[in-house]
Amino acid sequence: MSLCRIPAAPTAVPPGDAQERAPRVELSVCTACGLCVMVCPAGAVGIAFAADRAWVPSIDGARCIRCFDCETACPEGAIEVPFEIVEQERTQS
Amino acid sequence: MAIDRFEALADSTRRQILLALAASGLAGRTAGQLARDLGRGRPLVSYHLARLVEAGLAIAARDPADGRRRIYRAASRVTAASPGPARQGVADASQPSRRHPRTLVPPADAVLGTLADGSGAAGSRAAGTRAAGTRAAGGPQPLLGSGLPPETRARLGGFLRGHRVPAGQLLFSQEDPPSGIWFVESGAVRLYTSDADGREQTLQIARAGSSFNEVPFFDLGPEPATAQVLDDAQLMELPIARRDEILRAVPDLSTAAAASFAFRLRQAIALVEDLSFRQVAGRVARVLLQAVAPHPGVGAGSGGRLLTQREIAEMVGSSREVVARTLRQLERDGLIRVERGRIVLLDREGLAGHT
Ligand code: SF4
Ligand code: SF4
Repeated sequence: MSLCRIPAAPTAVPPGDAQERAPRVELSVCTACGLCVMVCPAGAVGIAFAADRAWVPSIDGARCIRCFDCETACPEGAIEVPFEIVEQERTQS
Repeated sequence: MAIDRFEALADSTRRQILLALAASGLAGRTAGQLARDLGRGRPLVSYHLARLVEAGLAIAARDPADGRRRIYRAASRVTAASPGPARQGVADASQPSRRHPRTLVPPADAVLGTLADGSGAAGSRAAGTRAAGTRAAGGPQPLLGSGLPPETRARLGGFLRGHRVPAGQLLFSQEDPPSGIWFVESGAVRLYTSDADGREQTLQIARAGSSFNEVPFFDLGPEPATAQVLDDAQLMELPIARRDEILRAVPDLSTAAAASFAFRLRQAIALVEDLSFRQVAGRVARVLLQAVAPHPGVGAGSGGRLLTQREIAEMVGSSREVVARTLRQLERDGLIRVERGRIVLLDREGLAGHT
């Protein structure tokens, strides 16, 4: 499978809220099929190079719009998108 | 698509992987290590590992030293001691194994021996990924921990052993010999059961201020559930090895435990009700409501944590796909709004009434 789109090399995202809540990729089950890179509408799934394999997906939490598309697309169930649950009042400011 | 045990074993690479896992015993192997052991490509090994996990022959757990990695172990029904072909081990194991304590995961002492009062350095990284999403525990968890009279608490003090346990670590597995009563000082511990196919049912998430695992301390039976640390935890254990001494020294522990059992029973009844009388949508709604109004039943103790669809699936006894569909349906019904990184509850009453 060839990759349709290779976003710019993923920025090293500083630790913080954006990355804390970014989708988590369980690299040990990822087969590097590239589907998450292809489906992400935000270009948030980049390609990182790892020592022991060709590449691994790397998600930029700041770009990610939490659409769940990568989680839905991943055939290995390797991606999980965390979310918090809040009530409406607290969100209206 | 899930495959069954026999399909899983029809493939020689998978048999090799399973044998290697069985041989590695409690230590387990990562996909990368297996790839090297077997001289195969890592993507191929990862693919087959995923099939073995689906078939319930292998178990994946987060590597406590590196939360992003998974360690694989042979499922407990794969007889690790059997040097014979994997099929033989599995055939043995396909018989009911309820009476055999699992040996897959070392008993709590073995796991924790190396961790007790350690600096927790291994876990502090994992803390970054999960614990930060934790807010103060809400919810009805008036258990042994905070419910004890101060005097009783003081007398128990001498028996308590502290453990710092990193996220991902199993404290004990269902059917293990009994361990002690555990108190959560900080962090979170998930209690769950799993069936022969590896499907997991979350029973409860124990948060700071609550205790868990009182039952085997009193009936000396095997562990009724598996306990896994979700967020790096500071725990105290009342070790079962000193049970008689403790009961002699602190006789009112039994009275305090009765209150705890009563709470557990109510919790269990609520869970049975949720699971048997509610549709999945109703259960998902109940889990979402835990965030604003903690209650017994599905998702108990989960309020205020970051959740994923898989975690909700394990609470409601369904699959991630069904949970994703259900969330979309609840959104169409105007009960929630799915936003960037959060779910907004629009209609608490509507959700509560959802069945
Ligand atoms: S959740 Fe959506 S935006 Fe975020 S990485 Fe996945 S596909 Fe991309
Ligand atoms: S879709 Fe899943 S398996 Fe494929 S590259 Fe992405 S994370 Fe890896």
